[in-house]
Amino acid sequence: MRKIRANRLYICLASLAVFGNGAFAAEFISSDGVELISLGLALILTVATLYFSLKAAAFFKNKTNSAKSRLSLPIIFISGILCILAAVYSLENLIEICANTLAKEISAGLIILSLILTVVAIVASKQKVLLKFSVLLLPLCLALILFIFLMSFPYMSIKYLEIKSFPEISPLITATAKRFVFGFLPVCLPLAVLCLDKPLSAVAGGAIGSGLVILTAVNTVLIFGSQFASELSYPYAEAVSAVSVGELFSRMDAALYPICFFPGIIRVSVQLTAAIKLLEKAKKIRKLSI
Amino acid sequence: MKRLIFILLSSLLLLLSGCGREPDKTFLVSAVCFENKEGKILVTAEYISVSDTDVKEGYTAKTASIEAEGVSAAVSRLSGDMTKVLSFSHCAVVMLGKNLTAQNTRDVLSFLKNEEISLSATLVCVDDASVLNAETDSNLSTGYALVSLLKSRGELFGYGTHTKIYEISTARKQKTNIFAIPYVTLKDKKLSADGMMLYLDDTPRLKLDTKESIYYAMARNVYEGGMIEIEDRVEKQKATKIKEKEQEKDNLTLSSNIESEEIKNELEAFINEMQRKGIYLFSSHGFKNIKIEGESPD
Repeated sequence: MRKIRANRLYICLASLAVFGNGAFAAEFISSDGVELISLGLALILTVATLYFSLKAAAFFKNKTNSAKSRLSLPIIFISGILCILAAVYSLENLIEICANTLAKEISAGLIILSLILTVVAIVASKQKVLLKFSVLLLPLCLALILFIFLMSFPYMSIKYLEIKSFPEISPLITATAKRFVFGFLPVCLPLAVLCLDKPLSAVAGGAIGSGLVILTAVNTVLIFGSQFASELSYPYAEAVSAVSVGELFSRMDAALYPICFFPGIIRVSVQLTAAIKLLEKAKKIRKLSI
Repeated sequence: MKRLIFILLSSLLLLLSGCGREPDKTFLVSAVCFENKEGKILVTAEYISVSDTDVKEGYTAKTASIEAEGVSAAVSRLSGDMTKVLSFSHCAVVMLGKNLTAQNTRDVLSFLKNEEISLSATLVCVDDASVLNAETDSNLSTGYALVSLLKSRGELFGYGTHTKIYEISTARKQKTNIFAIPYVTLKDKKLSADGMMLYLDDTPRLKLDTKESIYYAMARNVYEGGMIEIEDRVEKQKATKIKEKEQEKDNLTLSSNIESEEIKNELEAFINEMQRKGIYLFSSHGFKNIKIEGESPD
């Protein structure tokens, strides 16, 4: 029972980290079916990369326990630096997204709030509060995304999902690579480090996060169509804003906080926590070798 | 700890849902109108002040206008001339002047995508911004009164409901760039929205009356059902679906679920008339004859 509960915690963390601001960071960059196919391919690549990163991390963990540990030192150090760079990139993305969708302008308050929340989340990660927060946030996120999807039925048109001809290979590869590298790759290594002992949970979480990204993308395409969505900076945020439920909720922008802001904070926290873990490990190995 | 996190999360969700602007420092724009004035863009905004001092005197909508070379320049100059920040996030209606050129219309629609105006705001066509001075039942603003008027007409006649910015922007991406938006005029100082303005390649091309607007909505599969006048009586028609069935040289056959023969014949005549005027509601080229068959589409 305790094992299942521990797995659940890591599944939630991994899915929120993959979902993060992935749905927003991965812009609609082309038209006619390329978006959804490239997004699907990018997410398959993400889950595969996560799986192989976990394998690689497990391999290096064994090595660092052996006498050859000194050889692994540069790899661990570089991985730590990469995690920091990924966190900086994600934080910058998060602030930009929030500034454009929630606050409508970049304010100092928003930047300070994001930084404070990230630091709190990292400190909390040592006491496993970050994991528990994820367990609360994922169902809320999922419920809101489903609610918005159901409520947008009157605004949807199934004809936007029709793909008249299979897209050309070259733009498809470009779109997939762009989405994968800028949207999802930065979270694979940190997750592999944090979920080293729970590989299956991490992969399952990655798959759930991917599902959420696909759901938001399909929702956007069904409302705006591929071509118009590709002209918007943050199409899902615009879709959420366009949907209204009767007279009661004429705009649901507030739903973007749990969908966009908090998973983004979780993503940055995962990346920074992994960076701290790796750099601490590197320091320990260096001390041992001296 | 779980409770604490839950309370924190719920409070943030509920409390952070504001616009992030101080009401005392903001004018809420309820409608904005773009016109072409001797090659320049004339922008007119109807705004409401919601500050404490203004509310005591009662809500009154005011208008302000300015002209500039381009759309964004005009809007930023207008904002710069006001004593408070103009907030467009509650703008309900965007009016396109009848004299806007195709390029002007494209500029306006492109500008709207990047602004804080919600993509669910309604687009309408007007002769000029004098519509904003209409006498309305609403004591708040002409923009909001116009939205209510269009909504009730939509419920009554079943057309003109798919005219939000994103719906029009999506329609413009189809193979034939045709869209229609409500045409709003002043009649005895009151708002009148008796039909639609049909745009072809982003230029106002044809004024449709109420009945033509209904048939246009049917042809574009956006008709939601309502009252329709047939000869001297009024009938209630359900929502319709029309589909291209087969093409044979210059002939196109459509299938529809319309039961009334009279409505079907009138719709057929309307579509053929449109074809003759060069407005292709179905395929991207002209057909000499378009027929509607009675079987209901899947």
